[in-house]
Amino acid sequence: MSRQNQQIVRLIQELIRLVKTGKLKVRWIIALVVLVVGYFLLQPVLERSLGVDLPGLVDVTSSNRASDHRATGTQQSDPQKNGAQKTSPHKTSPPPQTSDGVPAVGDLSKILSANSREIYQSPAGLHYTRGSQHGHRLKHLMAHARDEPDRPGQHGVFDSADPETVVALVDEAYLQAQTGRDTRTQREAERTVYDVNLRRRIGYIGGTSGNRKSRPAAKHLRLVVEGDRVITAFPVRP
Amino acid sequence: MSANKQMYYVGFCRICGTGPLGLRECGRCESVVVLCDECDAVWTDADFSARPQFANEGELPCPHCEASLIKKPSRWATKGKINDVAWVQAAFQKGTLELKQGAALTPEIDDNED
Repeated sequence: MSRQNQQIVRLIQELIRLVKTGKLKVRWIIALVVLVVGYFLLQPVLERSLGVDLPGLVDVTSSNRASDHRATGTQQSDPQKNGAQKTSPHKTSPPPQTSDGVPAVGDLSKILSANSREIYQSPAGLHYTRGSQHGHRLKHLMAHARDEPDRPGQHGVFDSADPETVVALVDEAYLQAQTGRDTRTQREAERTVYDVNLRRRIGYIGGTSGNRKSRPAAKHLRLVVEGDRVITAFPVRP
Repeated sequence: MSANKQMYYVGFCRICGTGPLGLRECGRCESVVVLCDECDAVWTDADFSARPQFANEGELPCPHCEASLIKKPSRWATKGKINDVAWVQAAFQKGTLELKQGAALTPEIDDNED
C-alpha cells in the first residue's frame, strides 16, 4: 500500500475511533464527507472560473507528508500557509503521463535506490524527472549532499544528506521565490534561475574553490527550473 | 579521483553560475560540444553569449546528430580529440578559451542504464 493510501486509512481509522468513543457524532462525519465530496466536485469548475490552482487530493496528502517532515525536525515552509502558488508562471511541457492519463508520481526512495524513470512530485509541486548525467534529477540533486573536493570551482553542498530534507529545502526556496522575497531571479529562454536567501545556514561551498577557503557557509539556495521541472539546486554564496 | 570522472573544461556556465563547461565528444558523430556539468546546457562552439541548447525531457541530444550526449559511447573529450577540433583550436589561438582539467560531477553512464 502506498504511503498516501496508508495516510487515508489512518485518517479513516481515527474517525471511526472518535465515533466509537462518542467524541465525534455521526452527523458531523456525514457533514464532513459531504463537504469533501462537494469540494472535489467543484474544484475543476472553481479553478476554471477563478483562474486559481486549488489543492487536490494528491496535494493534501503531500502536505500531510510535509507535516511529518517538520515533526521529525526538518525545516520547511507550508504551501497552504504562506499562500504561494504551487506552479510557476513559466510552465513548459507537462510531466509525462501513464497510459491512463495520470501523471506518474514516483516514490522518493524508489527513485534514488533504483533506476526508476518515474517522476517525483514534491509537496510544493516541483517535478523531478528523468534527466541529467545522473539519470534522474533527484540523483543529481543528491550529488549536492556531499562534497566533491576535486570538482573545479564551487560545489554547493547541503548540510543534510537526507533526501526528504533536501527536497523540503528546495520546496521552501521555491515557494519563497514565488513571493519574490529575498530572491534574485534571472531568466533565459525556458529556464529560470532563482537565488533565494533563506537567512540561515543550509550548507557550505565545497569543490576546489570552497575547500581553498575552508568551506564557507552558504545561506542562499540557487534553484534552476524549467517551469515546475527542477534542473538543479544547490547551496551558493552569490 | 577515478579516471572516468576526469574532464577537460574551458570555463564556467553563465546560466547556472557554477557548472564547469566540459568538452564532450558525441559517441556517434564524434563532434565536440561544450556541456555544462551542472545544468546540462550545451553550446556548439565558443560563443557562450549565444542561446544554449537545453536538455529535452530526460534526454540530452547531440545538437549535430541527436545521439545521446549522456550515454556511452559519448564521453568527455580526450586531449588528443580536442587537438583535432578546429573551433576549439581557433578559440585557443584567439585566447577566448583556456583549457583546464578537473573532476566531473558524474561518472560516465553505461548504455544499459536509464
